[in-house]
Amino acid sequence: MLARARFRPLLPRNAGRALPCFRTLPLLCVLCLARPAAAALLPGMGFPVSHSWPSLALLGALLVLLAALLPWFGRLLRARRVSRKARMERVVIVGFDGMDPELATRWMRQGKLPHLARLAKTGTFRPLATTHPPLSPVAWSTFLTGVNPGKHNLFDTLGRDRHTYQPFPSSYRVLSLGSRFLPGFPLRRPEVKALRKSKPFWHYLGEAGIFSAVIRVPAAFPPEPFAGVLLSGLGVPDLAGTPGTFCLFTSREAAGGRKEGGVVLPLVPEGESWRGELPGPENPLSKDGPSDMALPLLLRPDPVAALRRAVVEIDGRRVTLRQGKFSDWIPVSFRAAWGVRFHGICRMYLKSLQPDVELYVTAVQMDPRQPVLPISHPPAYSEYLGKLFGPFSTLGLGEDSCALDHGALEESAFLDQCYQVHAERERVFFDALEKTPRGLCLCVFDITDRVQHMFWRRLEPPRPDLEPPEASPIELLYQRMDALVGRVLERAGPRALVLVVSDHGFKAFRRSFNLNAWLHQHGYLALVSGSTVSEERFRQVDWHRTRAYGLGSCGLYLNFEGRERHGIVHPGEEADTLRAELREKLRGATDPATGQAAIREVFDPREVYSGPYLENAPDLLIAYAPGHGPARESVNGAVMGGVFEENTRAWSGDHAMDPRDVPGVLFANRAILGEQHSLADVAPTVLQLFGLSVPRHMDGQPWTVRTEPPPPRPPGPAPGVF
Amino acid sequence: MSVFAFATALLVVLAWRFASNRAKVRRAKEQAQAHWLEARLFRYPLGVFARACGRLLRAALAWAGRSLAPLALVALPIALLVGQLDMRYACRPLLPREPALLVVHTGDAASTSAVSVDFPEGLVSAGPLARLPAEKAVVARFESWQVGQTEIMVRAGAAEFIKEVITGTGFPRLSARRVRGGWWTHLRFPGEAGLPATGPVSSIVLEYPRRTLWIEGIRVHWLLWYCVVALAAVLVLRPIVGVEW
Repeated sequence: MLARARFRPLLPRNAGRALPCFRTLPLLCVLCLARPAAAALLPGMGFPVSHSWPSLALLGALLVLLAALLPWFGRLLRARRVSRKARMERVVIVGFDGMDPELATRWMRQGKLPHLARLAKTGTFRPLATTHPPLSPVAWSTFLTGVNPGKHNLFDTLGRDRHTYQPFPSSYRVLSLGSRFLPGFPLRRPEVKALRKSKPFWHYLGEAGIFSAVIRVPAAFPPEPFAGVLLSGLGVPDLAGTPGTFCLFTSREAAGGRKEGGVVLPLVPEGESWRGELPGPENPLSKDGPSDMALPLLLRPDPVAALRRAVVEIDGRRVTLRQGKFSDWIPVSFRAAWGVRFHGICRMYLKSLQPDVELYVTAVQMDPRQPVLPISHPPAYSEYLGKLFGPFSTLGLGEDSCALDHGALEESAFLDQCYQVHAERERVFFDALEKTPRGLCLCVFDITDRVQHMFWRRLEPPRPDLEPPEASPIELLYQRMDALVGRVLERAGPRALVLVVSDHGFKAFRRSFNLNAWLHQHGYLALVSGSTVSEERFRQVDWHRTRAYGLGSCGLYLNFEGRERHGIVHPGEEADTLRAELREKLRGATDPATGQAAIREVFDPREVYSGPYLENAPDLLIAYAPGHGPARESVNGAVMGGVFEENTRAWSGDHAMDPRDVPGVLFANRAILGEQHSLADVAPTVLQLFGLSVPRHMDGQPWTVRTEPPPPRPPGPAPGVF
Repeated sequence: MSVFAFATALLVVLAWRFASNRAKVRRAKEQAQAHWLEARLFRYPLGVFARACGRLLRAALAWAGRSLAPLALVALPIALLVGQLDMRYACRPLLPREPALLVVHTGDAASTSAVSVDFPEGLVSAGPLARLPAEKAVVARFESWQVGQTEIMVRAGAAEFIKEVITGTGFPRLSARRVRGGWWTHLRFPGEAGLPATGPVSSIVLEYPRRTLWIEGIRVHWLLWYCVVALAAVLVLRPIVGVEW
């Protein structure tokens, strides 16, 4: 009233009624003082602007400003309303893919993980029940939706096309890589479809006006819109659409060929240099139909051999490589058509110059600044991160375990790569943490999974009577993750709830079990006449005589009539009998070398899952016994090799076992009551902490969390003994 | 003029090519773009948004700072070039029998009574001198009957000053003003020697008619056309020379 009275001489009689907001904007009135009133903007409005264009412009600017601020006020009000019910203002979740509770306990007791030990002492530390099967895409999907796989539709790392029996990544399908209107002119952008169903819990938070920053959570590709930012992780393909295909260029004679997860390519001598071609993605816009693109690559070793370096020329760039060191990210672009380029990034690693030249190139990944497929929500988020921090690994499986498995990278180089990728993810995560003073900040680090898969053999002594080697890479990894937790606790502050979770644990993988070979041996899977083996993707399988087949790490499918294209097993009694027969026989599959059962349990999905997508689940779930795991050939649909084999690969740790043997971890900086905790409980717990009601379809149960902060840390070094 | 504009563009891209660190400019630009995106992405809460805006401002300044070295290199040559072009393209010479005004500015009002103007052969006075003591100016109206360059003699007491006059067509170098002042004034009006610093006359101005430039039926100022051509040339040359800004 005071403001209105003060400015009354300047405003017509009805000004306050017409635009009540002016009462709260005395600044606007002050601006009008500059010009005397002469006319009205609109009849009845009475705002003096005639003959005063600057005033009109100012009025316009203020209205625009008001319009811009309205959503901000709306959001503020909504957030305030929610925050009245919320028990926590900020929740930070750090996911370590595959962190094992037994290892964590062992090293906490030895005082090697002080920050995790502090959480265990002042907050919570428990094993966290995982999913059937305990595989990352399945388990993290349950984590983010709070439902069992029967409701989120992910049952393994691979799904299969019922019509063609061909495997594909279980969490997404690329529907189209774009199409062309006229030769060279793109009509449509690439399309990717998410196969994971059910809503992630951050969508519910967003609907309530609570901001979330979600970084690299598996099974969150393609990114779905919600009120927050999200960077996709596990599942993001490389530029060629594969889970990651490295290139090993070599000058060795007769080099060439495809390996799992990579390709060996020849280097052709050209004077003092070597020439090769870096394969790129398929060109969907080619005039002559889809064709593979490639970039010429010229490698020139330094004339002074002792310097151990070479210059690589690619895509108009010259990069100096030092032997045994990774290059920085190198941007490359493949021209698909006029004005259409596929932008990617790769890193190079000069393995050797003598006697043979060997150059490793990572999979060409999507450039976060110009991704071919959407890898973040909003799409500008990956661009923001790419421009702020420079290019970073966008691939779901950025740590190239296949390259180590096939000898394309040495152990030290693989670890270098892992920690470089991890450092990039830490930067992104801490940036997100800074941007989320209220709401949810969630990040999953997958280095823990990759390093444990590849270095478990260095954790256990070769013979039981020997001591394990000191400070294995896994132990050092846990120590680094512990330090990361320390930094997170420091930056999150005592008022935030910090949860450290993992989706599953780990066990040794000493002997492999080849499910498809076993099925073939026992007459359930038939090959076309004349074949004794089948290559990957069931190339030589005779479907008209096959009753069951294995695909993925834990899935066994019956060749159902009416469901599969060439199905021969009748649903009903025949199927039930076959299912029971297979369960019985597989439970008794004993490894002749060890005399132990290779399979601990065979689960019937109908007993462990519920939900609308149950029909997409495998017909039986294999849970391997500790020490055993699925043979890689069988996972990819090959039928070859023996049923039981010694696992001689670097891939020496696994988790495709009985979920009871490989639980994950749960750490918290608050006391969480109760004894049984499962990965599915995280989503409802977070919703409840933010004051939201838990959707009825969620299977998880919210935990009872004591929200008062833990006692302050005593002065001196962090507690070392758990 | 287009040739000069193209030359200017070439000078600019070469200066940026050799006087700026491309990698650092690209990095600074990406940082500024990143903080712009940050301000768009993180609008809530206000503290986060305000910090993003602060970073954006800092990054934008850092980006602009990366252009200072090449800018310093090209600023003076371009200023000189524009000054020279202005003398040829801003105005046109007088046409025969076209009336014109000569304005003599004096240092004080009293000096206006001592000013006289002598027109040489070919220039004809079109009226008596108008003395404006309040404006400290004397205005002479005249017509030029002869094509070519000639000089008007301005007397102020014992002091004599010359002002050149050009009549005809084409693009001769025209000096509209002869002024008193320091190096900066002479840099801006380089057509004739400066007036003595202690003399009674501070400037002599000849109002040449503005030149009209028609491009595709549209009347444009020469500087606008020059800038458009130079910018277009810069855009063409930039990827060829490999410049980042």
